Amino acid sequence: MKIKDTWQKIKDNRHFYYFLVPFLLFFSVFMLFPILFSFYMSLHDWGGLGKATFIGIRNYSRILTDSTFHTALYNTTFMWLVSTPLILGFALILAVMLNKKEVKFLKYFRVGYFMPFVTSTVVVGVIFTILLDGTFGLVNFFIESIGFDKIRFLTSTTWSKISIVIVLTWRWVGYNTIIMLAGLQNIPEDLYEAAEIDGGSTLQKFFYITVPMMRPIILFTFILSTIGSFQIFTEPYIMTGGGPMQSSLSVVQYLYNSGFQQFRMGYASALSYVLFAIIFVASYFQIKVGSGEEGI
Amino acid sequence: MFKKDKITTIVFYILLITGVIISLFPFFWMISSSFKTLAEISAYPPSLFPDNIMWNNYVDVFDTLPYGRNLFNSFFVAFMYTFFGVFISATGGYALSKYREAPGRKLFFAVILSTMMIPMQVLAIPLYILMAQVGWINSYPALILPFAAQGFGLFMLKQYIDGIPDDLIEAARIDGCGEFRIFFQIILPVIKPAVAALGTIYFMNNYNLFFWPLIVTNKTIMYTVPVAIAQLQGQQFGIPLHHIMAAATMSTAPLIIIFLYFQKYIISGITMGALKG
Repeated sequence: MKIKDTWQKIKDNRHFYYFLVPFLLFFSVFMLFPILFSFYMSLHDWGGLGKATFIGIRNYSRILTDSTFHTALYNTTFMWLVSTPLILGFALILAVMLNKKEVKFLKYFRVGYFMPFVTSTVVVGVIFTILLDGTFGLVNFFIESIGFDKIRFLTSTTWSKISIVIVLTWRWVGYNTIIMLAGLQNIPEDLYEAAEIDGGSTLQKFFYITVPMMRPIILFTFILSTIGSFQIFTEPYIMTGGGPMQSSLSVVQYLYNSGFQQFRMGYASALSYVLFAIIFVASYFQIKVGSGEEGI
Repeated sequence: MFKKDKITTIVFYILLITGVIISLFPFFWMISSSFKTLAEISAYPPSLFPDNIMWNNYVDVFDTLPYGRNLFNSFFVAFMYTFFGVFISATGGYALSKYREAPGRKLFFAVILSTMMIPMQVLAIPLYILMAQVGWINSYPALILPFAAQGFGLFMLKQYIDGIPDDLIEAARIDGCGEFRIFFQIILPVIKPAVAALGTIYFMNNYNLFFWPLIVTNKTIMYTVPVAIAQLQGQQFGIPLHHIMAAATMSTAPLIIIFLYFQKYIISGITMGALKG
């Protein structure tokens, strides 16, 4: 009886399946299957061709002691932790500045700030490669003209990571400004009016109204930044190739090198799962801590 | 008091304008460099404007690379990807939004949502192997199809369709309108703004995509623009910076025009996710 009912329900709603099938087909073949297959591969030693040998969790235990992976993880964490506060800080300040109704040419400012985000990362990478060049770069020209020595931005182990951070900041401030601007426009005007009546200063309004009201949005952008940062690949690949001496090697580039240069497909799959775990834990932790008692 | 206000305003605009200059200067540098000779790009001290305008760079880059083909690849792939991706998200989103009685609906939705946080890199290796197995390395399907079904897109359009009153659909049914006609003639026109927003984001993302095309193509003729440029940049000796800058300018210009035209949609697409998330 019950089965018959369900069957009837399926028949009545058959268009649900017709409409969902195209998405589901692509989703199963190109998303679900690879996710599962990747995990299966991560338990094998496999060069891409020939036979795969089952080695259990040995790929994962190898990652734990792999010093190149540790370097890559350190580099990636560094880029994430330095660039995120810079990006979100600048974005919040900019958004607050642009949120004034009387700002002239607001539309043009918005376009100007958003432009870096529209451009491909590869193009951004090649432009900054010449801007930051150690011998002829324009940035070094400025540095020298105010009386300092040239900096080997892309070829020194101390500066390579910082160069990536500079590019990330340049590229992502505008994008986050747009998100924060939308959030600011949702804060009720009367909160500020009430504060003004009570004689609150601009700074007080910023810290006691804007920041608390923006908490969910800041949290959202923080999580987006975290997810994005751990997937950094193109900038170091183009600008430094991960060097010098692996000083700007990111986790994803290490994954790429393992899988597609050395053809250690099993090991690279295990790396990708570790990457996913890191992103998942970091985001989960931020939601827990960030949303605090109110929850979102 | 008045005077103090005026100074604040001036400082305010100076800061804003400085920011915009920092934002836009690298583009100026790219364009300026694209007209310089190779020697002038790497000259020190650098020159702000080219000594002689080298239009040749824009011609020569087509000898260095099959750049016409690369541009075509990028546009064709991004366009097809956007078309497929948005279409299957719209039909799927409609199914999940408006057939609330269908068995399995919740399960499908939960499974699709749960994959949204999975980074592309987890998929890259098995997808590469899959593509190699079916002989799709260096092919358009490999560039277009794999990332067409995105949980993000489905979710965004479902949210939007949720806002359409059921009465509208019921009324059409009573009038004898078939289910597919309801979708194409009633739903699609109503969700146009969301489709445009998602479409521009998909197009931009795909046009700029690097990781996947880098993996799945190894013939210059099948490269998309980012891979082609990266290839020049990666040369061991004599990196043709002047050609790279010309290629970069040519690939960026159309995107900026698209952005200026669809600006409203891109911004609404980005903020839609943020305010609901």
